[in-house]
Amino acid sequence: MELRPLVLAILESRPLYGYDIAQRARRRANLKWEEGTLYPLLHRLERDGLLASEWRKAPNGKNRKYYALTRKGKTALAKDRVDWKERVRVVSEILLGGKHGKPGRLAP
Amino acid sequence: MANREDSLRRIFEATGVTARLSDEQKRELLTHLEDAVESKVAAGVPEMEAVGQAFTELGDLEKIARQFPTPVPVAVTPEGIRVLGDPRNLVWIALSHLGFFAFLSWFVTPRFAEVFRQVRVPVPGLTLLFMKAGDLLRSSPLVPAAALLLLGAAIVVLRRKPLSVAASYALLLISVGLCIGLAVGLFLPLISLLEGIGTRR
Repeated sequence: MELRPLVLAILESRPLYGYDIAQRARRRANLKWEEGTLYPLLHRLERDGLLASEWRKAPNGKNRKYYALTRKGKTALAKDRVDWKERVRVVSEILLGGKHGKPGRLAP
Repeated sequence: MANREDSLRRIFEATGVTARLSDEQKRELLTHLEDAVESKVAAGVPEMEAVGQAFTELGDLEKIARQFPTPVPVAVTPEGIRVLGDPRNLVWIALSHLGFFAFLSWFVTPRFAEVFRQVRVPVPGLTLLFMKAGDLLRSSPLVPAAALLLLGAAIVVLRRKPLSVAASYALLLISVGLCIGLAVGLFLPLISLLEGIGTRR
């Protein structure tokens, strides 16, 4: 499973910190993963300008590193959504059939 | 609570992987472990078991450490001065240039203007422009107050959401342009003044 669109979508509504993102990913996508791998991804997205980060106090009073979507991140998320829809359309057409409900055939 | 954090830190350091991580990466992974243990303990899991589960769910630390992107190269001069590697940090350099420009306009330009007036040296348009800017800065206390307020707001906003690389470069270019323009504007009449003195001799 591609994690980038998932993380970008989770951060779309508001800035969140790593543990919070991991929990939301677990709940929303029923994701079984090594949560630690989220952090290298967050750092890569930040390096690429898709996320911005800031250390600030979480509701429990402790300092946590919050990540927020940048404008570039929002654009990337919109593109990921379009790509995803296209992929779903193509795979559905192959597996479930075309517009006429006939099962599609894979070229030999 | 502090004991839990200390214990987690010691276990984390004992894994031997911390040498590969930056301070911030360590801090982030540790806070993740703290949150995970806290939430499990709150859900009734015994502390030791919660710690074990948190480390298991975090995953293979060696693998995680390898996956972190390589940091942006930071140049170090022979004198040991670190040059900022992230282009978005250029915005801070630009702000310091603008501060320097304001300082020159406030304190230095009026002195030059006074000298130029006394010796009646022809003042070029560029110099006049910067002299007017200096006069404007000093004419009303509202102008520097507004500038300070704007600077404070800019710092707060930039800490939350850094400028894009292109915008940082543009701001740097403008600020450097202003400083160079002011320096040239002040020194042009000085040169013609010195030339005038030379001719008279």
